[in-house]
Amino acid sequence: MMTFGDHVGEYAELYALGALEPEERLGIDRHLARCARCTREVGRAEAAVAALDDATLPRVEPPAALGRRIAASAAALAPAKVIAFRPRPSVPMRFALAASIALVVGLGGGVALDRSIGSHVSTRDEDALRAVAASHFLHASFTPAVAGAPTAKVLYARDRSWYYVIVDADIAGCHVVARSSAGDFDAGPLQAGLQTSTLFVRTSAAPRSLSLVKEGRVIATATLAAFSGGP
Amino acid sequence: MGEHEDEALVGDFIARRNEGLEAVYEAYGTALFSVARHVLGDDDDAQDCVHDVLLRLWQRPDSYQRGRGSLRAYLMVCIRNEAVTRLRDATRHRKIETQVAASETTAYEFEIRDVVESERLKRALAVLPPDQRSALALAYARQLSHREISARLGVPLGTIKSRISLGLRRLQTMLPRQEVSV
Repeated sequence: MMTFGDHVGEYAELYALGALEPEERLGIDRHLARCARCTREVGRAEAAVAALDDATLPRVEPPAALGRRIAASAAALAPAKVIAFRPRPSVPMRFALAASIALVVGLGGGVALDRSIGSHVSTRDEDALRAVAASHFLHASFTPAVAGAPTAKVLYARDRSWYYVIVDADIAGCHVVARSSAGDFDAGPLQAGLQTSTLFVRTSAAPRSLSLVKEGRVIATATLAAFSGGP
Repeated sequence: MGEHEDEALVGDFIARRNEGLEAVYEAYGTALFSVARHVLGDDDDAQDCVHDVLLRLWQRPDSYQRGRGSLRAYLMVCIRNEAVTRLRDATRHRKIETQVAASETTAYEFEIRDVVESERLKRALAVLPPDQRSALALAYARQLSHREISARLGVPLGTIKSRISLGLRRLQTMLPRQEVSV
């Protein structure tokens, strides 16, 4: 770990420009935590780099999806600190979680988010919350196979370590069936809520598609992106 | 860019309120994404970078202190640092090295795009000694570390640090200040 004398000196400019290695930046961060003078120095260097950015970089508007993704991640993270574990899943909490995630994937545009409802969450729902907040993920829509099939989407990790199915209906007796090169397997039943049904699954099977199956009949299928098996 | 930051915005962000994060993104999202997009050269990577950094800092509000100055500038530098770190990862970094080596020269310059600021920046850059300007441009525009610049130019590390530091400090005195109300 690098150390400094009394102050960061010319490292302030290197820090602001991104010209230091990560371990060097960490050393400065630690010093700044206890040195107001160097914090001001680094702040001045940061202002100069920001001014350079404003003068030289083309302004690129971020995609609208980024704002929704950030808001949904914040919504998912905010209640996590006050969650108390209970043995049974809470339907309202699951709805709140699914609703916040639905904001990301644009599921059922009218889904309302109410973080004030519910105070506990199932282990599976917490897994989903943590996975979505901490991972890079993809999503796919389910294509209806029968008339009246509910709108549904699946979020899944880029590394295929988890899958989170969200159905825009409180549908009972519906299972998620995964289809992979190794064969089909039942990933489990959807857990019905007030307005959504969800299922969070961890598997290494890397399925090619997921189907919603009710009473032995496929009602909708989502085709997942090709996966090479790499991280 | 001279501006007074909204005290409520800064306070809400530090207090880890959802509305603080949303307001920060609404106010600075374009600037932050522009930095990430410029460094990484890819929309998806830039989105991941902005998302991850904003969420991380929002969860750790003690990482920003008001005495540091502008929250906007702080966030832009955090995005730049994270983007540069990602860029330097394994294969990507080798690719950049190849690109830099292919355009080998000891004279590196800035590309100025903002019409309003261009004259002011050109004047500021014109007064910098060429060695300071080149070292600064390699750090800023090429995202090279001070060690890489030292190796690239065949100049001792200490000299490179001084050139970059002096160059940015001189620019700092001539560029518009970012102000923050604290």
